Amino acid sequence: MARDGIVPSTLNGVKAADPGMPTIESPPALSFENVSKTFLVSGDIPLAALRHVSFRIPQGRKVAIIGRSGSGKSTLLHLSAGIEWPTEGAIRLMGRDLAGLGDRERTLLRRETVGLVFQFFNLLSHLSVRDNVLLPAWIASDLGPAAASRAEELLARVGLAGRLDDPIRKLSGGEMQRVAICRALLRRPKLLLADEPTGSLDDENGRVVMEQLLSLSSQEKTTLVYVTHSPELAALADETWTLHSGLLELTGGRH
Amino acid sequence: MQFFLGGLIARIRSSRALFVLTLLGVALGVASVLSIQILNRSALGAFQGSVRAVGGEADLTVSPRGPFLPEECFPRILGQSGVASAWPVIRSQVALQGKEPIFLELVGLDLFAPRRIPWKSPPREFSQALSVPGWVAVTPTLAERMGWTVGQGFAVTLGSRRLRLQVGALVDFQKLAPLASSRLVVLDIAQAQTLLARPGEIDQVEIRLKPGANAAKTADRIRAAVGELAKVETPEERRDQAQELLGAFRLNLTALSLISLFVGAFLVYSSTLASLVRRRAEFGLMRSLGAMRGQVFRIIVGEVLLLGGLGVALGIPLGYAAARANMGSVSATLSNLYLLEEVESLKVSPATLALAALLGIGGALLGALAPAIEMSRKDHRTLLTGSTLRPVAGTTARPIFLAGVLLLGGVALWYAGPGHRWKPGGFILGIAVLLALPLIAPVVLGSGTGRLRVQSFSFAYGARSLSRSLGITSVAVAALAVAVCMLVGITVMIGSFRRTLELWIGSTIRADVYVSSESWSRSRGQAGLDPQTLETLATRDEVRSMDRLRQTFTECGGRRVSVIGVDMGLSGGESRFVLMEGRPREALRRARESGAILVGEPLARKGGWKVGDRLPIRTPFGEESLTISGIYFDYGSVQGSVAMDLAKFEKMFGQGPINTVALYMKPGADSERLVDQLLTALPDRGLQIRSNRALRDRILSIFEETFAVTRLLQAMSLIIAACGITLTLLVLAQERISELALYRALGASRPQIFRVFLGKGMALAVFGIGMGSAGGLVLALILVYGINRAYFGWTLALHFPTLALAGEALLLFSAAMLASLYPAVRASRTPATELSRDDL
Repeated sequence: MARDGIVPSTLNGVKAADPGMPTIESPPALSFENVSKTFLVSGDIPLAALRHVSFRIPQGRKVAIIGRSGSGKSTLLHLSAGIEWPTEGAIRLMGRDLAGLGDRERTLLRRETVGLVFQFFNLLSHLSVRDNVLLPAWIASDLGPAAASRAEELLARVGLAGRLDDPIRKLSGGEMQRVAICRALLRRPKLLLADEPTGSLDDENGRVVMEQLLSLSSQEKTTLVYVTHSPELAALADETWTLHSGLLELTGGRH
Repeated sequence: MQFFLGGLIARIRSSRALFVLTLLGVALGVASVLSIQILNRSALGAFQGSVRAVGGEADLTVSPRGPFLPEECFPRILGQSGVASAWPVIRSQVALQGKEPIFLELVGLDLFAPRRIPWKSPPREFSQALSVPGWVAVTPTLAERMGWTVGQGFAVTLGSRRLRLQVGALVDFQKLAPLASSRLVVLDIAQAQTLLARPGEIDQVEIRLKPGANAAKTADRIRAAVGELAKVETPEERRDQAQELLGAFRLNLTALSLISLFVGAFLVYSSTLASLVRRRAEFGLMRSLGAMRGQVFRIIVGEVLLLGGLGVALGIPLGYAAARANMGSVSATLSNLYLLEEVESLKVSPATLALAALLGIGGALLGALAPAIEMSRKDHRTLLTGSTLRPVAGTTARPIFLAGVLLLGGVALWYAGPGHRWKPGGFILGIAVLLALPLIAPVVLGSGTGRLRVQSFSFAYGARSLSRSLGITSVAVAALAVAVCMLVGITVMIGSFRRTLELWIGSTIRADVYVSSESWSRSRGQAGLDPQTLETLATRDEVRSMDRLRQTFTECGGRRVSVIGVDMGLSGGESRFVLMEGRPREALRRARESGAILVGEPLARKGGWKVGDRLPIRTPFGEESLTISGIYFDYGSVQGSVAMDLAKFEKMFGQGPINTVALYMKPGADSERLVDQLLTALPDRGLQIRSNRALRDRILSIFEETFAVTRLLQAMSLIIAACGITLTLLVLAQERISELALYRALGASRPQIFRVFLGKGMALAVFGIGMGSAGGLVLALILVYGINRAYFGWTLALHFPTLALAGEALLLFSAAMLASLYPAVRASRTPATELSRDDL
């Protein structure tokens, strides 16, 4: 079974070529080849978080991953970002094999190509709204007028233009997540990974934030992979995949 | 209990570095206090031990107010009602020649008096004590050390005289008083008077009262019988006098050692806070399951008590080792500066150990109190939602700062007013400076780092982030600031003292060669140079003139001080006295022509004497009041001194040997060569012959020795402060693990995180050193102008040893950087997967 550009590993192991597969000029934003990840629990008991997962996500695609708690969703995102490395298999980020990279190269690749959005926002309470958004530029030693105006522009796009110098504690949950999205997009990442971005928000706020996330990633032409519990929010993506006991399965068509 | 201990062991395993650092902080704090207490008590113990060994079970002691007691006093004392028995004593220190002279305390006693002498090997015939010339009884320790056996002879020197002694018996004074000197050498009093060339003189009379006799009334009767010649004291009064004499010395050391403990308490605070931050969810769960606030508080306190106990257990052997290592320098200071007994063994009483334990555990509890109370007051919801423990200092920095400013301002105003007239006033002001530093640290650190302009994710970013963990970071800064404050204050004080001393010896040590005897440093006036030696010195071709000095100890204006007689008419001799009051030529002319005196600064300050006052001086023939024509700087004694013309001295104290001489050489003569020639020409006389340069070096080396303990204490508190930096950064690395993980997730490299943490360490060091240096300069002024004058009576010229201070700053900064390395490496290894659900 083939779907546009994404070839998951399924229980029956069906794979297919895709007419729209990335070319040499345009490598997939992210690809997994037979990736497994096993953790050792209590020192020596193996627990498989992912099992033989394979897929390719072309650039610009929006993919939702759903699954129960503990199904391996966060592990998949961490592996995608190069934060963790697989027990076996190969992961390619913008065509570069993460296995061949040392910590430094991996970190630099993440810095330049990946944006991360977390369920619990992970904003720094001692920094203002603007400075939280500027943090990736700070880290990349790229803190100049261009970064500052980009941060202001992004915040304006999510309706926080008037809150630039506010401390984080004055924001609502929805506003915090919008700041986190702006932070993730600041350096124009090729791949945006969002781990339950609406998980800490009520339905209404969650819907608004998700719409903004999708809209911004479309405007920025960023590939988006997000994890969610909500079938409604998952339905907003081009593709929906379900993780179950470490296995990835296509469950939703292209929209 | 099992749950408690099991949990504790697991926590220690998971954070070994924090545990070790905290333990080290408590242990070093305890060790520094304990070592000083042991040394202080042992010094007093040595004095009391010798008093007890010589005085036995005496109820009263009669001592001279002048240089000595005339023998005629004794029958008058013995005849008083209430006196059961009495025995006269004569004492002198003699030098046993060797590479380093050993000083023996020669004690002449009436061996037939009804008092207990703890013979180890009693004389076969007591009559030998009288009939065998030089018969002495020595302690078994000394005999063993020197390899002596009964019947063996040995030579000692007193001044330039050589005395032949013979071991007649062994007497174990340490059985009577364990801390008594092993160098006590006993002989019959008549023999002693002859050997020491002091016929008819005694130094004290020990008295035992009849059962039921009233000590006070008997003492009054004795005073009436001996008149103004003597004072009558109980053993307790003598001990109190020694305590008073050593008061300033002991107080200084005690204060310094307490600072180490103070700095150690900061460490406990930081580590407790760290432990509580890590365990907030655990406490939240316990509270949810029904644990009361008191229970949480008790668990925390229980752990701290255990930590304190372990710190004490480690600190006690460390403290003992430190005391043992410093026994020599303390002993040298006591005998050089105070002419007291050397400390030969250490006294560790249960009370000293209890004090150390109390301070260690108390300090740990004090450090843990604030975070324990804060944690126990939090509701379980707050704890479980995982909001980071916001330390008190973060929210109450300004009120704390104000309290610090008010404290310092208030005490400074008080000191400027009536406070400076009160002897401990300077100490109070110094303590206020040390207390104010931790109080103002949060605001200074917060506003200082919070305003940093950060351009990149590197050092400055790390430094700036300190401002939001003030509860922990300001404690590290405070600990370092207190230690640096003490270091800078004492470095400037020692530098000022040394500079003053250098200037002083530059002015006063002008002769080319100085001749004294080995025993002079201990027995002073009794250590004379014989006429033949003086003749040899005076008739050398190279010698242009010879300056002679005699010394004795007597009561002047109610204080027992050193009195010296020198030739006030010596050409150019004014330079020997640097006057702080009075005109040199005029003062010396009046001393020479009208018998006026010059008074040393410590005596003038302590007694309130000024130029023109008449100072009463006790002589063997009565009391005479002499006019003060000048007050000179005197850094040679704590008690004080009086100088007069040698002729006047001899009139007042009678004929006696010259104690030291200074030789002025003809132009072109080589002083070092003369020293060598004199040592060859005058062998076996126990002479100390030093060139000008050698004497200056000797004075400065004694000076350095005096401050050896001080430097050890400084080092201890600095080690604790450096531990504080490591601890704080480790705490930050643990507390902020989610934040670090976020940085890693957002693309921060390990070197970047390393630099951020190094930046934190750098900022902690800069602020700690900066605040400490500022406080240290204030402390230096207090030490130089306040405490030293009040306690020692010395005027010191303020001098900043720039090179030493710069070296210390560099060393401190390097130490702080080194202390930051390990936490920085640990922080840089934080994986991005450590992202927690905490609100960052």
